[in-house]
Amino acid sequence: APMALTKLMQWLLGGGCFIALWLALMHDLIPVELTPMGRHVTNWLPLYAGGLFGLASALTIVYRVLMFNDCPEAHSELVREIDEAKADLAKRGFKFVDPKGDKKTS
Amino acid sequence: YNERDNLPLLVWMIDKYLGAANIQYEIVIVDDGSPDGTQEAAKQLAKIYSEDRIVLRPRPRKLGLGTAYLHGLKHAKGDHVILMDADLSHHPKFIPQMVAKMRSGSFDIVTGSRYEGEGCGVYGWDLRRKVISRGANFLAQLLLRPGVSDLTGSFRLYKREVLQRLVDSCTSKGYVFQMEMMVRARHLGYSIGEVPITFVDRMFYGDSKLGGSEIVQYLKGLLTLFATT
Repeated sequence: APMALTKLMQWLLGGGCFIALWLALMHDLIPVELTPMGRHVTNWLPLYAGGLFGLASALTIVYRVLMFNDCPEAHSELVREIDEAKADLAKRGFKFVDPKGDKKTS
Repeated sequence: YNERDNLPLLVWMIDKYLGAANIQYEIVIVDDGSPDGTQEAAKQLAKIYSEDRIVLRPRPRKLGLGTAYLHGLKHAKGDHVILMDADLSHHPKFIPQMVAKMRSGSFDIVTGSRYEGEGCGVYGWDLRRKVISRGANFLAQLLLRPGVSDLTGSFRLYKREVLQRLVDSCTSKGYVFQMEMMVRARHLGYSIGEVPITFVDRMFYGDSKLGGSEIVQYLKGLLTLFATT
């Protein structure tokens, strides 16, 4: 079934809830005991949340780049198969056009 | 477009791997008036492999990927369709694996993934390309939560009626078109399976496909999908 809300609307809704909650905390509308540290974090919550999110994102991307699978064996296998294919096709009567030193054919 | 050198090699490999797996196939070649002799190569292949199996349906000039899919689909007789790149970056050996995956999981679509799964990988990407790729994918996963690990990949197996419906309803271009297909597929309730693939970048020899304008286009497309789906 199609989603009723676009992703943008979901984010706006979620963001709106977060902001509403934060404003409620800021104006002491929520009966909660806060230590001085808790108070400080609450005052700067959007900044801390944003910073934490940015840091987590950057670390995730760095990790994924480092864990990237290089596959040199796929390349060498391809090169070998290309040679095999050319030989077999030539045997079956295929006439290749001379690549004239074109770099893109291997 | 201009695949005179790669086309015969691709056809040979498709015949080798699908033949070994006993999969009946037909290759529809949509050539956009390539000046380098691609059509002559295709005609030779039709003689060698039989004209039932090598179907040449050219177009007068470069007309874009989405319409190429539509055009090919019109002339395809099969009830399942594989879309793949013609430059040998996609290896036909994965097609039997995709077919098996589709059967075992009753999926509507099976997509190759360069990023996840045992044996996946890419050859030929430098650090810059990897960072851009991971960053772009991270952003797309965050914004679209698509449930598919490789959103911009273009090596996919579809049930015929599924592909028809998707191509009819997607309007983006380039990388974003591939993304839009997956996002719309999820919205329409189709099930998507994944098979890890290796991708050998054939533009490796210096042609950079990711300049500033491609990145901007990608971001624009991503934000459009974000706001409309």
